[in-house]
This record gives sequence, structure tokens and C-alpha cells, in this order.
Amino acid sequence: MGKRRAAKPSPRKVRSLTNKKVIAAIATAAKADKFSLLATALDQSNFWSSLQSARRIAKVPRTKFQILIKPDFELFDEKAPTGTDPELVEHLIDLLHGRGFKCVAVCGAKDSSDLWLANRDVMALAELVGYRYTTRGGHDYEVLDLGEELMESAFPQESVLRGESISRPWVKADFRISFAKNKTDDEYGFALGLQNLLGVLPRCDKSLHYHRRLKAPDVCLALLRRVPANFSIIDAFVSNHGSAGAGAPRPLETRAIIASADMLLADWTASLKMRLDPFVSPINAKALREIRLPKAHQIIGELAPFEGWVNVPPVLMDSVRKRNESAAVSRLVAPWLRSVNRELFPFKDAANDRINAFAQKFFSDLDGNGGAFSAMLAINYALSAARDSVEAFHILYEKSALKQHEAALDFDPQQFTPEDYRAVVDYMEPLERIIHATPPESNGLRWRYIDGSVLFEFSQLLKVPFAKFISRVDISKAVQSMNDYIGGACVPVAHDRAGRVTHQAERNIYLPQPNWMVLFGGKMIDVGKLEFVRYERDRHRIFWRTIKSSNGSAEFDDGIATFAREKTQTRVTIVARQKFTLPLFWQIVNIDLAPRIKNPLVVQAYTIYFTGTIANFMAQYRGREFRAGQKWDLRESDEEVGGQRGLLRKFGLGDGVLEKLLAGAAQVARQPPGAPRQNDVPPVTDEDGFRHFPGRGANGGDYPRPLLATAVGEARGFFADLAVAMKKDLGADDG
Amino acid sequence: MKAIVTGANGLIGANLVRELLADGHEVRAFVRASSDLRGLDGLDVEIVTGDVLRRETLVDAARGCDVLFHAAAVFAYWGFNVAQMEEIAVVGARNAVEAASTAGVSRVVLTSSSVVLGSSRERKVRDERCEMMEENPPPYSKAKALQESAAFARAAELGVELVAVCPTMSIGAHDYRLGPSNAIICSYLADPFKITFPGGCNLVSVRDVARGHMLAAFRGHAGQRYVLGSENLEWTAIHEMISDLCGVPGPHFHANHTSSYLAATAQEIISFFTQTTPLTTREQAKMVGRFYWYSHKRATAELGFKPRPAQRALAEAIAWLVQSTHISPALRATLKLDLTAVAVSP
Repeated sequence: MGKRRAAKPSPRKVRSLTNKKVIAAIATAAKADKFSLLATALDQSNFWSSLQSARRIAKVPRTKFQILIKPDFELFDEKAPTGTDPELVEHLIDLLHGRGFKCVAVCGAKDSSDLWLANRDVMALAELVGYRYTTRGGHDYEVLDLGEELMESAFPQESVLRGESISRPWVKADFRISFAKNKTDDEYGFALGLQNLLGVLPRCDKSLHYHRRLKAPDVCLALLRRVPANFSIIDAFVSNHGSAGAGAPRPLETRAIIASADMLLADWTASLKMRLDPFVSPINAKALREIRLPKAHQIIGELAPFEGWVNVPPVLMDSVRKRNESAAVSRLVAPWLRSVNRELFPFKDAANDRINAFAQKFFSDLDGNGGAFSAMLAINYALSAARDSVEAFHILYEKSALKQHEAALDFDPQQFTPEDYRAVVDYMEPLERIIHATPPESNGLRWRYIDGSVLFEFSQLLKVPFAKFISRVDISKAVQSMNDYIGGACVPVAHDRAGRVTHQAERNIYLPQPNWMVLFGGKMIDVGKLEFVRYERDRHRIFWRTIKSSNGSAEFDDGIATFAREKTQTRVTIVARQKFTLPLFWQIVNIDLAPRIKNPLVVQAYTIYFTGTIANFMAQYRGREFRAGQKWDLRESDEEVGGQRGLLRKFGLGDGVLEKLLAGAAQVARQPPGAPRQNDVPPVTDEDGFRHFPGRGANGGDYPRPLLATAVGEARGFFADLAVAMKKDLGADDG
Repeated sequence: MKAIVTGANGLIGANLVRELLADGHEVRAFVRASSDLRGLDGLDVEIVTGDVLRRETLVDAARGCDVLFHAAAVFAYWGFNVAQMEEIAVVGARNAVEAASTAGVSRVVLTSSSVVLGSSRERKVRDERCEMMEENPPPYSKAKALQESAAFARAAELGVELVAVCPTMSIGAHDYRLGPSNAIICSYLADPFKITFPGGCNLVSVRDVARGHMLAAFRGHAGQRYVLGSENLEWTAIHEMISDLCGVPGPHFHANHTSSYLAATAQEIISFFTQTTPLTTREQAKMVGRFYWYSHKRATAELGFKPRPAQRALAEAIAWLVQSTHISPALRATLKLDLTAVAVSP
């Protein structure tokens, strides 16, 4: 590989509006009231100078300088400690007005709780939890719904949020303030500014779209890069701690306000006060690794951990994460594990209401009730195991039931020079010559090992004209047509004069290879590649080389796909070098030592791979859908998408299957297995119109036999026939 | 020519009616009052209701016809009554011969089955001279064997010209009840494990079988039976062909006798509870490992029978099945059908 270009300028320049050392201020005082603590934190963290700098850049008078405050609205009761204290938010508005900033609004957007609770739209919610639209100082303010006035195409092509919309007022605001709550989170360990930022996105079902369909760490990173908050405040005056996170209010008077111009630094500070590893949250960990803390920063104030603070035990966090990997399971249990004031927020569904009432009795005190804690762990892991089993089944036998992965490119394609892309050809062509000299198997597959990786070539002649084939099957998209491709991202970097892609960067996610590895904990293959495309008169070729595997699933996944004219037909050839990381079991059971076992498996695996890929090319040629998995359904407010019926269908219990099973069970209860079915022998009508029903007992089989006799008879017949089958397999049957 | 076809709404009957009409013959379709008539929709035929177990209804229907094609039968491996299956086969065939005699129909073509010629443990090709020698044959095979011998015996007694045709595994269109032959295609496609098994069978297009019936009526020698088949294939090859045509990988696993039997038992238990038809049954599992391979040389030599290749027959059957209700929309969505373009290996 050639030299990498210097990294792009850090987004920090966008976030930090002053050139001074970035400060995170922790204002704490045993006796001071929350309002004075807020004022102190703002002063110490250079909030006002940040505001002034932003105003100077915007060149807008104070009275027209638009400020948006995004509080944490994860509130299910008035004065609950799970969201930002409305009085503090209103006090901030008063402070801003006091400095001449008249154009201040509070904002938020609906979240997934709107699917199962009433009164969750932003305006109603704000009013019910204590926002009065007029501050104590008599200043009126608005509450904006960030689900409205949307702006399309706000995110670049390489962003995971490409194609997603976002609120125009949030993007256009002159100064954006995140006012988060200091709290634990049962899935991520803590939920602070970054999670609060995720709430500015417009889709209602945030849990589905921004945590499961897209991954929350990617989403938050995209927001930080494109539309970050200019200032971050964390309300830690009364915090919410404990194992259940925001699911159950467990207030702790921590009497602190944390503020910083850098959201990552504010979150970092709060997590330290919780005595947590700031990287415990995958959301913050990703942002910290990608963006990093400001080079020059300082934390002012008391850094000692909060007294009496209870964090989410790692085992519980692990179980919740695994449980929530399934969007369906996550949605199923969300309404049940949340403490809700039913008078303010009635349940939309009576069943959820009842289950919630039951679950709250048992699970409301996870920290004080060992039985409840253990039961929660057991349920979470059981649901996770069920989910893993279902996914393994789908990977092996029903790929159409899988969801396609929506992911962002996980490296910066601009960090590589055009020579880096062209170098992929120099790397692959010698390998191509090596494999071409290798004798083929009986089915045409050529393969061999290079440094433990499998180098293979497969070629097939398709009875379709070359010109038509290349017009319908774009060589630059060939890698996405490979067998078992389940999602990823592709960013074109350069084009030729005809506008065709010549250089591109891709992230590919494939199902575990071979698929049966999923039974041993095999991971999705997740690889980032540089690709170079070459167009010749009679041949189109794409070369690719893996430069990154975020989850460590592959060491090599490099190759060449060639579409070549051969008389009136098209030859498709794939040369590839692959080495995927084996699950632990297969690392211990080193199958390399038994080539007689391994080699046929390799041949079979690559034959299936190539056959599937060719089928995909042909499907693409004929205009049919060919990708594995289903696209995510982006509809909102749809019973099939958001409700219990859709969930039953996800578990394969839709389309009356449940009813059929119940009917079958009822039949078993009503009659013994040996009894004939009612419709076995239809009545016959004679010339005179009399209906003749079949008599009973004549052939000895029509009377319902006693249950025991039937069971014994069936069992005897079963074992006799089974014995015959086994004898045949053992070669002991001469019949 | 005017022909009466019993079981005209079934798989072979519906295709036979079409072939007869295509050649300009007049057709009388003999069906039960309760029959599903979708197989005859839109055809210019005279539909007569009756029951092969009630001879008088057959006699009335057969009057004025030149040929009686007796295709009515119960072909199933699940959800049937053994005694009733045998009664319909034997009494029905006997009634057909007697009705032809009474109504003055000169020739009867009996739809028998290749299973009456038996099957082999080894890769042996059987022909019309073979007999079924199995000790415990499946009820369907036994019923067809009894039917054929009863029909020939009664025809000899009454002096009726009877020709029997023995179709092999007949696949193709207009199978609205989904018989076991087409069901093998659907079962394989619906099988998430894509299991294949030892043994083999002879595959033939039901359109060729229908054409063979007509050839037997015109050219067949009375008292003879003719195998109507095409290619002899192992199940693995058949499943590979289905996979290729439908663009699905497989077969993945090779079942043996024991696992086939256990899987079929599990299928039957599930079907019992869900009140659905199992993908496979224990009766079918018992046939695993056997070769139902037959030669149609006699039909070719004496009747001029020229069946299409098995792959073509499969492609036509799949083309119809994917448009039918026998393959669910969800399953259909997973198929990448390629019924015309066939890739050539390097």
C-alpha cells in the first residue's frame, strides 16, 4: 500500500468555538440550590464566551440569535429523575434572556414509547412532565417538535445517516445546547449527552431505527460529525442510578451540574463521577476512539465519584445488550419493563398494561431483590439464546427472513491515494497467475493455500450476450452481488470520462462462511475494501483488497471478478483469496491437521459460494431481486410494523399458525389418535336422495379405539419400521 | 372420436382432456358431484357427474362413446382410508370395464401405474414383464396392482378390449389437489434443510403421459400394458435439477433410511397437530433407497411414444407450481427461477 494522506481536519474545529483549553466544569455544593449550581457550571465552563464566539461567527444580533435546548425527555412521570429537570431548563432560558438572548426554544422528538403509550408527542409530554411554556422569570418559550420541518439529504454519502432526514430548525439553529440527565442505562452503562443527542433525530421508533436497524454508536458519531450540540450540560442535581437504568426511577441527590463545550468531555466527566470506565458505553467508546477528547482540556471541580452511586452490573448490561440485539424482542419487552404513571401516560394496549403491572411488581427493585435480578438475567439470556437460534436457523435455511444490514463505511476513503487503489491490481494479478496454473477439481474449481488463506478460481460461461450482460450487471457492484452479501456501504471515489466508477471504497457484510459456522458462534464477515475497476472492450474487471475488518472476522477477503466476452456469450470468472477468522471451537479443533476432512469441506463451501454468486448475477441480469435478506420497513405508525401482530409474524406465529396449533391440540384432547377424521369417508347420495354414511367396525378401523391401545399399536408399528430402516442402513436387510 | 374420461379433474385426467380436445376429439368428463373442477375450467367438455363405485352412473355416461379412459383413483400417501382406496381402485376399475361392455364402448384404457411393476434395491431398470414382488408394498402400490389384475380379469370375461398404461412419476400442470408427484418438488423447495436421499425414480411430463393414453387407445394391443415414462434418475440428480431451475442452493444433506423415517415421523406428528399435509410421510420414507426405474421401450416401439427429457418436464412443472397456491408467496420470493437459460459448465 502507498502512503496514506494526512487525516482530514478534525471535526473538533466545528465543535469547539473557542481556541482556549476546553473545560468541563463540575459545579457541586452541598447546600447550594440547583439554579445557582447551573449558573456556576456555565460560568466555569466558559459557556458565555462560547455563546459570544458563536454569535460573532453567525453575525446575528443577540435578540435574533437562535438557541435550541434539547433536554432529555425520557420521562414517564412528573418530577421523575430519569429526564432533565424542567425547572433547570427553564432557568437556563431565564439566564439566556438575562444576557439578551431572546430567541430560545426547547426541542425534542417522539420516541418509541409513543408506540405503546398515549400522550407521548413532544408538546403533550412536555406539559405533562412540568414544562410550563413560561419561565419563572416570565419569559415565554416554545417547544419544537424535531419530527417536523424535516430537511432531506443532510448527511454525506459515507455517513450511516445518508438518506435520513433531520429537523431543519436543529440544523439551522445558531447555537444548540444538549441538556442531558445524569443516569445509568441498563444497556449502555450510562446515558448522557450522546444518547440525548440521538433524540434530535425525527423517526418515532428510535429504538428500532437508531439502535437496531442502524447502530447507535454509528448514529451518534454521524450526528457529532454533522450536527453536534455546541454546548453540553448534564443535570446531575438529582441523578438516576441503579441496575434498571431509566426503566425504574431511583433518584440519588448528587447535587452537581456538569457543563462543557465538548460533549465527549462532559460525558467523560460524568462517567468518571459514576466511577465507570468512560468506554463502557459502546456509543461513547466509538466516539472517543474516532474523535477523541480535546487535546487540551481541563476538568474543573470535584472529580470524586458520587457517594452511594449504584451502577448497572456488567453481567446485567451484557444480558440486556444480547437480549436487545433482536429488534422484535427489544420491542416486545420495552413496554413491560418501564415504570409509568398510567394517569399521565395510559397504555394503548390493555395486555401491555397488565403485563407491565405484573412485571413492575417483580422487577422494580433489581438492586434489592436478588431473585428478581437473577430472573431478569435468566430471561434476558434465554431470549438472547432464542434469538441466536432463530438467526442461526434463518442463516442456514431461510435467508429471506433475515434483515439486511445498514452500515456506514468504517474508514475514510480519502485517506488513500489513487495509487493505493491501483495497487490492488498489482497485488491480485500475481495471485491470479498462481491459481490459474493450479489444476481444477472435477467441477472446475481451482484452489490452493497461500499463507493459510484459500486462493481459488471458478469460471462459468453464461448463455447471454456480453453487451447485454454488462449493461444490466454493473461490474462495479459485483462485490455486492456475491453470495450471502447482507449489507454494507459503497462510496465511489473516482470516475472515468464515461462517468463509470473506477475507484471506490466498500464495506461488505456477509453471513458467516461457511454458513454452518453460525452454529459455533461464527460472526458476520465484516470487511472494508479498496476497489479498482477496469473497463476494456471485451472485458470488465473489478479488483478488491481488504484493508480493515472491524470485528476481526477476516484476515483476507481479496479478489477479482471478471466479465469477459466469449464469442456470443459471457464468461464470469471469480478469483479470490479468503481467510476468515474461525470460531473458538474450530481454533481448538484444528481441522488443518486433517486435510482429508477439510479439503472436501473447502470444495463444497466454495462451490456453494460460486453457484450462489452466479445465480445472483443471472437474477440481476433478468431484473429479479437477488440479495439475501429483507430491506428494513421504514413505515411508521403501522400495526404490522410496530405492533404485536408484526411481532408474532416475526416469530413465525403469524398467518394462523398459532390457531392451527391450538386447533390440533383441541383435536388431540377430543379424540384418540387412532380415530378416523370426520371427513375421511364422504357420504354417498343414491338416486332416491338418501345419503349413505359408511358403517363402523366393518374394517376394524373405524371405531375410535381406546387411547392406550392406539398408542401401543402406533408405537409398535413405529419401532418395527424403524428397525427395518436401521437394518437397511447397516446393510443387514436383504429385502 | 368421442371419449369418456373418469377422474377428468385429476392431474392425468385434466391433461388427457386437453390433449384429446387439442386433437379435435369430443370429450365427456366424468366426475363426482363434490369434485374440484378447476382443472377443467374453460374447456369445451361435457361434464357428467357420477361415481365410479356406482356402475349405473358410469353406464349412462359411457353411452355413445368410443373409448373409455379410466383415470379415476385415489393417489395419496397421507390422509386416506386404505380400504376405501382399494375399493375405489378395484371396484371402480371393474365397474368401468362392465360399463364399457354394457354401453358398447369398444376400448378401455386403464390408468395403472409403474409401481405395479415393482421396484429394486439396486439400479435395475424394470419393464412391463416385471411384477411387484415386495412383501409389504405401500397401500397405493397394492391398490394399483389389485386394480390392474381385477380389470384385466373382468375385461377378459366380458370380451372388452383393455389396454393398461403405467405412468411413472408424472409431473406437470393442472394439479389442483397437489398429488404426491408434484408434491415432491414442492416439498424439496419448502425443505429448509434441502435433504436428498438414496434411490431414484423415473420422471415424466404429465402431458406426455396424457399423449401416451391416446396412443394406447389408438395403437395399443388389447391385454397389454405400457410404461409411460421418460428418464431414470437418482433422487440426488432430481433435487439438483430442481435447485438449478429454481436458483436455490442444494441439496445440502443426504438422508439415510433411518433419518428419513425419523424425519417423516416428525413431519406426521407436526401435521397431526397443525392439520396440514406433511412434507413427507412414513410410507414414502419406506420407499427411500429403492429404484423406481422403468423402461418405456415398448411404448416407444409399439405406440410411437416420445417423451420429453426430465429436465424439461421439471421446468414445466415448476413453472406451473410457482404460479399455483402450492408454493407460498414467501417461498416463491426466495426462488431465482431460471427455467430457460441454462448455464454451461466450463
